[in-house]
Amino acid sequence: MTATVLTGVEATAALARLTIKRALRGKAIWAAAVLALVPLLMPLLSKDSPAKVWSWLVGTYTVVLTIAAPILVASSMSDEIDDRTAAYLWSRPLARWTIIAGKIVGLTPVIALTVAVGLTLSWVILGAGAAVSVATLARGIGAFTAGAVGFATVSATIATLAPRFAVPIAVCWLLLFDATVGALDFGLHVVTVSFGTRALANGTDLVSGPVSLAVLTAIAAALAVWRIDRIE
Amino acid sequence: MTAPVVHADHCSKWYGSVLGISDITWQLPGGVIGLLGPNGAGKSTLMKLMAGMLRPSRGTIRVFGGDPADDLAVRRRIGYSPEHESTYDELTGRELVTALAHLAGVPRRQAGDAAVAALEHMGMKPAMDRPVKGYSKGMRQRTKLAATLAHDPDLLILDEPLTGVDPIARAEIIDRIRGLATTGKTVVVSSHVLYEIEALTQDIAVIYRGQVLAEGNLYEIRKLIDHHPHRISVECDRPRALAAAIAAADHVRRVMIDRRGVTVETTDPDRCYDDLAGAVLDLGIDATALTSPDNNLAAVFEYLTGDRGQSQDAQ
Repeated sequence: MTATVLTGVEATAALARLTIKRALRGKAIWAAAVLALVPLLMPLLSKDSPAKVWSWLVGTYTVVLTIAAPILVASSMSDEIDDRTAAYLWSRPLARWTIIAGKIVGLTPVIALTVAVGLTLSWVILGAGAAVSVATLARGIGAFTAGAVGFATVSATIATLAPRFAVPIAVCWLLLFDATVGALDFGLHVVTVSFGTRALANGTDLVSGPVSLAVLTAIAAALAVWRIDRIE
Repeated sequence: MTAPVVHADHCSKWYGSVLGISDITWQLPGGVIGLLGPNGAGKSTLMKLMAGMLRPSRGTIRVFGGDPADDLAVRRRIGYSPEHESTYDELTGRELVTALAHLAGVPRRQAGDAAVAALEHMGMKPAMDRPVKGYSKGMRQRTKLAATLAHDPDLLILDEPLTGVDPIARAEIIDRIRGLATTGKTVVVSSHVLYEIEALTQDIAVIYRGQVLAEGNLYEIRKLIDHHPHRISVECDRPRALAAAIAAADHVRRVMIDRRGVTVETTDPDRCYDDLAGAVLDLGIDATALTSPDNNLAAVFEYLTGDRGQSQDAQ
């Protein structure tokens, strides 16, 4: 056996696989899946135009992300710290940032996939390409994937700052502050992940939206890495 | 002269205002060493510092000549088993050990084989495909030890590996840990129970209130302890008769009688055990239990700290 030290990418990939395996056997992933299917009621029940329903769906799926990301990412990160299983990771030859990266890389595709499935089913119910273009659907899926990265990173950061109450704090922050302020037609909305996600999905604010999303995600990631290095 | 495996130099660790360890200067040349101390003494803190999970607040700790907190190559050579029994319960034993072996640097293709070998070494192969959440405490401990071993570390740090396990599992785990010593690995094992450490090694470091109070051969430590009066209790049906028989011996300082038996304070525990056994047999006394309250570690530490206090007073 020739054991060596894993590179950052190898460690992130290994931690992502471990995270996904654990998530698939837990309950949180099913809660997120159910949550992502709830907005399907809108295209099923609404008699408004497909364009208007799609616009509502974008807003609703942004809200879904503000809950799904904490349920999956914040709980995974906080359980690791709170249940003290982090000791297995801290004691291994891994840079601590890879633990954050592994959680985000492992769980973001799960979040993005559940939203993409919900969005695609909604698109089909609305009449597929005849009502809402394929490009709009693709843009929406891309936007929510980027948004999932942002929400997952913010959730992970909150978990490193307050592991014991990470999920409620993350949900409160993202739902009450981020989603609310992000929906306002006001300059302050650029400090929210919701604004960037919605801007990308709607194809509006294509400069300030992606830039604010990228900057907020980078700041959250830097804070999480700084914090996780100091957890004892 | 070879460099020590672990070298702590005036190493202190605080958690806020709470002291973990205080100004420890200590070297571990190799072999198997037991860290002995009551709960809260600082054993786990010292072990986490050795494992690179904590950084000293003051001073340094070197493992294999490097800083375990910053040098991943050093940490690659360390296997750490935490005191608590939390694991990734959703996984099977095999999945858990495989994942942790890979994270410790075993190539992905080899991690499965390394995990199975380690689980087999710890006697867990028959149960390795069952979820960890269904394991007993003993099985969990053995799985944790397998995860500690799977990447073939040179230094094993085992924090209270016998806590909460039943006597059969305890004997098995002791056997496995002693087996590791024969493979040339350095093993640091902690316990707050003297007889557990005695079963594992003769080399100990006594930790109390964040400091290494004494270190060396267990026999030497015991001699130090035996300089102090030592209490032995016998539960029996005729305590007065037993007390009368033993009271005249020159090593007996005091005899206390209660309804359940006799407690003898002696300056020579070995002779006292012999004399008590002889008296019980000669008088036909029905003795149901023989215990030494001084095997309780707290009493040992009181002796040792008392000794230190006296020597400081003398200075």
